[in-house]
Amino acid sequence: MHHLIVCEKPSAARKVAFALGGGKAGRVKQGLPFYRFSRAGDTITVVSALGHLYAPVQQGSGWSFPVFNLVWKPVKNRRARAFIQEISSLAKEADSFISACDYDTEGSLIAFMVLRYACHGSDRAAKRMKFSSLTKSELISAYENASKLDVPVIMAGMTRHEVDWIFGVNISRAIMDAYSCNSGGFEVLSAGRVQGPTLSALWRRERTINLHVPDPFWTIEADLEFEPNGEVARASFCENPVLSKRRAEEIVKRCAGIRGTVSRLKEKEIAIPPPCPFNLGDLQAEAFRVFRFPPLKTQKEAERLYLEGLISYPRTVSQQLPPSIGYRRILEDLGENREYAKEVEDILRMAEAKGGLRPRQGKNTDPAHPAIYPTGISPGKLVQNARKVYDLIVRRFLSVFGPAARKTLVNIEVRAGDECFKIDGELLMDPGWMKYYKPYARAGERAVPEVKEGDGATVLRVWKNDRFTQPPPRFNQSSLLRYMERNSLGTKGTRAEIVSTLYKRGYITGSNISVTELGRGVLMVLSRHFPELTTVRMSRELEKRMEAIEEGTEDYAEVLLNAAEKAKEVFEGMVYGFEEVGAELNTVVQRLRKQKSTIGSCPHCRTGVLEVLRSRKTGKRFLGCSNYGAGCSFSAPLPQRGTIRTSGKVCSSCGFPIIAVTGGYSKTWTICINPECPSKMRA
Amino acid sequence: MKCSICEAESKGELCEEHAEAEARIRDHYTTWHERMDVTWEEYLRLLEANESSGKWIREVASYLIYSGARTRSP
Repeated sequence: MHHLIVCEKPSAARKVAFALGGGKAGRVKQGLPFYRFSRAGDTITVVSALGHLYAPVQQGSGWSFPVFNLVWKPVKNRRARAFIQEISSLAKEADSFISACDYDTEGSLIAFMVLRYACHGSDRAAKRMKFSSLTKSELISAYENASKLDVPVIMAGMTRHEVDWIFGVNISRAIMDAYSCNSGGFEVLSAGRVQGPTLSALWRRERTINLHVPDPFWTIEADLEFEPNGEVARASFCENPVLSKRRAEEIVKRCAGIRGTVSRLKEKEIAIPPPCPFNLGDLQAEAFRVFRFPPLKTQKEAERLYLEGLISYPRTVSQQLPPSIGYRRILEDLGENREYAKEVEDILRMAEAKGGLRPRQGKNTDPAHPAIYPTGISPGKLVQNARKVYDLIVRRFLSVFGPAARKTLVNIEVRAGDECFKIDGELLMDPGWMKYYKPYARAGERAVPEVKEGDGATVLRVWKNDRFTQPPPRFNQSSLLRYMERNSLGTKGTRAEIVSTLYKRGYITGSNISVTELGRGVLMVLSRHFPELTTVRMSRELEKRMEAIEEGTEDYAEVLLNAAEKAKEVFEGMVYGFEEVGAELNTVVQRLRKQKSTIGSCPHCRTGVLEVLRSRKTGKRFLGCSNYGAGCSFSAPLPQRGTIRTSGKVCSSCGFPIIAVTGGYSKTWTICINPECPSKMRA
Repeated sequence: MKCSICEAESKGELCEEHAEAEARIRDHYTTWHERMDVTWEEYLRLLEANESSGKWIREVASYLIYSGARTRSP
């Protein structure tokens, strides 16, 4: 028998080949990551895709909307086509086919397309290897227990791609067409069924922040000196916040220098249970908190670690670790690493005493994969970012086996005259699981003075703090992902990509995310003419139906037809508003282009603005004043290469604006626009 | 018609967003007056200078201060 096994990526193919073939696996051909070997009398060829080798495209030619007829074709990439050609040739030699891509909708779809198109319709009788990590034992077990192809998962993946294509291509074409008809120009504008609601949520937050009126309030604090030990501690006024400036000033005046007594001392012990095992969302949130890694970066590093066989499949929503993964074996393997040896010894010793290993389990489950765990295989040399993510995953895994941490919460009340001050403290009595999660655990200790009820205290200093109510914080990439997850926007595998697309399109900017003028403009157009595309409802309903396809309770054709009907309704509405959409987009794009080409105030006339212009005679660009027509002839030469924008600063030598020039490889340098700047003369 | 602050299309002197900002500024004056005993002019200046004030709030406060004819308190 000759088996052809299809993997998702070259590194996965290598893992599968060497797990099943041992050291005997050899390359089929130079330059391609395909392997061949024998196993138990059978010949096995392991081939690899490069992610998606096929994508939905419009059937037929032309650029119009709405368009619903699509076909799946090879992607426009030379290397991908070379892979397809070779797989097609090797498939003719095989008589059995197995999918060994990652066990999720994307992986299952990748394999299906290869089997159907490159392997000449062999999807009909193909089998499926299911595994959550790329360890040798798990891959061998998956091969020996290969089951039938996961059709519902494949259909769910196909539905998602086709629905996204229908909406994405059509909306983008509609708005680009409308802009083009109105302006005569071309601009890359895009929108999608998940981008719209996500951008809308960001804009709503932006709007709330922009409309925030801060209200004033005051907090009163004091430094108290306690008898008999003379300890000084900071206390806060019991009735904070104070809502009147006059009252706050009166309290401060009244309390200065007075003596009081400790009227109450309360202690309460609390247990802090260990954290849950990581799913992808939790890992991304934690890596952002600890390392400031954007979610997409964490996802990519985790995927690399998975392909190295160091962790289990990362794209999971599960927060549970089933015993079948072999807790003890993994811990013992991790214990071979000096960095974790002490913690592992501690955990295993505790397990002996308690009669077994029982990790903390979270609420969420995933039918395909458990929570993320380290496989125990030694990592060897890892680049810095991968090492950080790996260490975080290992230490989280260790901590779920730890005991609860214990804290004592202390509350001290001091009565001074008619007023009351309090001190709240937290003392860590037993770090419990936190010692396995160092340095990532937050102990959060706050010391308190050693006092008892009845002890005297003097107010050494008392003051009021002026405070104002704050707007809600901007989304960052981590909190945005959590918002998307809560509202079923996108999937665990696509959310980070969607956020990345919003950045690439220029719709959002900054690590504390703001919506740009372009993003706002596109959103306003969508809100006015395609309101369904900016709300969570439609996208959430579609996601639920796609999940139901995966569970086998919904039909692919029905869901797709329903999506096409919804899209058709939306675009029929577009026909009536076509000119208006174009005009609105034109206004936005023109305003933006003007902003981008404006450098700052004219240093000569002081009322005009400096703009980047191009000479009709020489074709060279230069800076000119917008008041040229009114008599200001100021101009300055500009570098002819690179993207120019304002730096927001002025030169300390001459006061002229400084520009930032970004050249190749995204290197940016700054320069004063004044050709006679004293700083240039000095050089 | 164009908004006097941002030149966006508007039905009145201010666009929808800046008009909403102005309404909020007027709504919150009572709170400021009760808590800090400030005049309308002082309130606008404090809002304009406050880092926690939203971008449109600062713009409208500045506009109300410098437009002269619009500094009537609510």
